[in-house]
Amino acid sequence: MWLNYNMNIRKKITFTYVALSTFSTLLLCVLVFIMFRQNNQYHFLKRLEDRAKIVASIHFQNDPEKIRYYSNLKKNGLEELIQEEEFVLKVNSENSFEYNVNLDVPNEFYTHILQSGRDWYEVDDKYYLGQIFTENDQKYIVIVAARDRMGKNTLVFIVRIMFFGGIGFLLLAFFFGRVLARRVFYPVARITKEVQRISASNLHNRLPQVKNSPELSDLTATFNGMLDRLETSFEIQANFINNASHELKTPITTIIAEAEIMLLKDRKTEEYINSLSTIYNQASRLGNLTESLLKLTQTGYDGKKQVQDIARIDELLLEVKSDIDKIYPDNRVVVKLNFAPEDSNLLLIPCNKPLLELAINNIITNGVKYSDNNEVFVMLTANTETIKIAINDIGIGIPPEDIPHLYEPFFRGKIAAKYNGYGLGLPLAMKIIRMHNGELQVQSEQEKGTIVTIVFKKSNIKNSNVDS
Amino acid sequence: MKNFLIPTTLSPDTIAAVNAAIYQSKNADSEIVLLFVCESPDTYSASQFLREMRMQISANQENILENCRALVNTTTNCKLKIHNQCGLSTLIFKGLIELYAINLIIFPNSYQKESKKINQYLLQLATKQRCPILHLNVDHNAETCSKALFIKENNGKITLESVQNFLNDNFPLEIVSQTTHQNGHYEDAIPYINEAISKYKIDMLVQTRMNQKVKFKKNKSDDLNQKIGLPVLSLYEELV
Repeated sequence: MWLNYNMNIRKKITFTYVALSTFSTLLLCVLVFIMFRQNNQYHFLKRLEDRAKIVASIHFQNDPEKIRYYSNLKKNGLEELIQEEEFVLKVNSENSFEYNVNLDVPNEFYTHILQSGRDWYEVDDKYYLGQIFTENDQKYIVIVAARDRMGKNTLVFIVRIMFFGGIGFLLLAFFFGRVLARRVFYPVARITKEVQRISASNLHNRLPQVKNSPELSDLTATFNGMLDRLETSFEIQANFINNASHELKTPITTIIAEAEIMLLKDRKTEEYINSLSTIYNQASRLGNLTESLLKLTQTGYDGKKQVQDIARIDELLLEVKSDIDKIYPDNRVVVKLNFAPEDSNLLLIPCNKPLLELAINNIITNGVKYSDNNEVFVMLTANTETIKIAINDIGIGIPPEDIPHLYEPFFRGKIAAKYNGYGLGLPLAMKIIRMHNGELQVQSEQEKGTIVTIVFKKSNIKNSNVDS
Repeated sequence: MKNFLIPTTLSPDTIAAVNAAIYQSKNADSEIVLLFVCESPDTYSASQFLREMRMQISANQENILENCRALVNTTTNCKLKIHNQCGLSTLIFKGLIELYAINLIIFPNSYQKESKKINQYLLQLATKQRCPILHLNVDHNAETCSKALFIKENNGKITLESVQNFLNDNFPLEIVSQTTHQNGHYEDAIPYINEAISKYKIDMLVQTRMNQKVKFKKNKSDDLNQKIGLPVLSLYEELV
C-alpha cells in the first residue's frame, strides 16, 4: 500500500516535471517563432525599400540606358526577388492618383500611404511596400511587390527544428523527471525499507539518522519517538505481571513485617495507631504504584496528555532513601545534595512521581544489593538544562559483555547469579526514565564498582527543538 | 505594599473577592480598589453629561458595599477605595492600573457572566495588562490556596522554573502538577485534571496568557474556571 502510494507520488513528480518543462519550452518556441518571423519581415521590407528607392530614381531620370542597365543589374547582380512587380503611380491631388489595374491591393493601402507616406502589407507571403517620393513638386507612389520565398523557407525550417527538438526535449524531460523523482524519493524508499525490517520481534531497532534533510530527519525522529513509546508500552504490557509482582513485593513485605511484629504481643493503643498508620501509608503507596503501573500499561502512554506531578528531585531522592532504610535498615546509602543548586526551582521536574521513585529506588537498591551492602553514593547536580543523578557503588561491577543486555527483561549476569533477583528492576527503570525524557548511562568495572548516571533533559528544550 | 483592583457590579460574591484580596495582602499595607464601570452617556454638552453620569446603586448593592467596608475595617493594613468609571478604553484602563499601582486584578465569579458589553470589554482589557489576574470560582475560600496546577501552553516558551520563581516572589502557591494545554482542547484532559485535583487537593489553576486582540465572541467558550470550578490565576507571559 505504502509502496504503491510512493510510486504514485513518483509518477506525479515525473509528469509534473514533464508538463512544466513542456509548457516552458512551448513558450520559448512561440517566442522564437514570432521574433524570427518579425526579423525576416523587417529585412525583407528593407530590401523592398531599397528597390523602391532605385525604381523611383530610375523612373525620375527616365533614361532608357539606365533602365536597361538597371534591369541587367537586377537580373545578374542583385539577389533575385520572386514575382517582383514595380509600379509608379503619379499622385494628382490630395486624394486621387493614377490607378493601375494590374495592381490588386485594397483601397485602404493607398489611403494609408497617402496619409503616412509609407505602408506595407502582406498577402500569401507576397509583400507590397508602397512609398511616396517627390520629384519637382510632383508626388509619386512607388509600389514594389515580391514574394519572400526564402523567409518562408527558413521559417518552415525553424518550425521543423523546433518540432523535432521539442519531441526530443520531451523525452529528455521525462527521463530527467524520473531521475529526479527517484532521487527525491530515495531516502523515503530507504526509510520504508528500514521500517519494514522492524517488527514486534525487533522493536528495539531504530531508523538511522538522515543527514542534510531536515524534513526527513524530522520524519525519522518522529518515527523513532513512536517506536520508543511503542516498545516501552509493548514490553511493559508483556511484562506487566512480572513487573507488578516484582515491584509490589517490597511494600507488601513491609506491611507483613509490620503487622507480624504488632501481633507478637498485646500493645498500647498508641503503638497500634502508629503501626496502623505505617501500614496505611504503605498500602496507599501500593495503591498509587499499582495505578501508575496500570497507566504505564495503557498503550500510547507518553506522559503528555496526562497531568504530570511536579516534584522536587532532591525530596524525591530523600524519600527513596527513607524507603530503602525500611527494607535495608543498615544500608550505607549516602545522598549528597551539596552539589545541587541553591535555586530549588531548578530541581523541579514534571514526572509521574510513584514511577520515578520506583525507578530510582530500583537502581539504588541494585547498588546496595550487588555491593554486599557497601557504600552507595547518590549525587545530585542540576542546571537550567539538565538534572543529573549519579549513583555510585563499590560492588561486583558488570562484565563488559553483559552491558548490552542490561535492559532485557529477565537477563541475569553470570556473576550476579548468586544474588537474589529476577532481572526486572533495571529494564523497568530504564523504561520509566526514558519516558521522562531521561537517559540512563551505565559505566562499570568488574570487581571495582558501577556508576549509573541518570540525566533528565528539561522538556522545554526538547519542545523548542521540535518546533524549530 | 500590594494593591488590588476588584472590578465589580456589587454582586454578593464581591465579598469573597475582597476576602481574597485581604488574604493575598498578607498583612502588608494594601489598597483595595472597587471599580464600577458604566457606559458613558451619549450627550451633546458637558453639563448634560455630568447630569446623566450618575451611578445608581440599589439597596441590595448598598448593603454589600457596607459589608465590604466592614470587612476591610476589621483589618489594620487594608484600605478600601471606590472608583466610579464612566466609559472605558485601553488607555483609561492602563491609566487606572498605573494610578493605583495595582499588583493584582481580582474578578469575582459572577463578573464573567455579566451581560453588559462594557463589563465584557473590561474583562478583555484586563487580559491585555501585564498585571496578574485572579478569576475566582463560585464558592471561593481564600484561606486554602496553596497548591496549584500549572497549565502549560503547548508552544509556550515559559518554563516551569520561571513560573514557580514568579509565584515564590508574589503568591503563596506551590505548583504540584502540570498539564499541557493542547490549543484549547481541554476536553480530553479534564478527567485527568480532575483526578489530579482530588488526589493532591489542588485549589488553584495557574495559566499564562499572551497579548491578544480584544474581540467580542458571540458564543462565549467556557473557560477553565467554569469547567473545573477552581480559581484561575492568569499570568502575563512576558512578566514571568
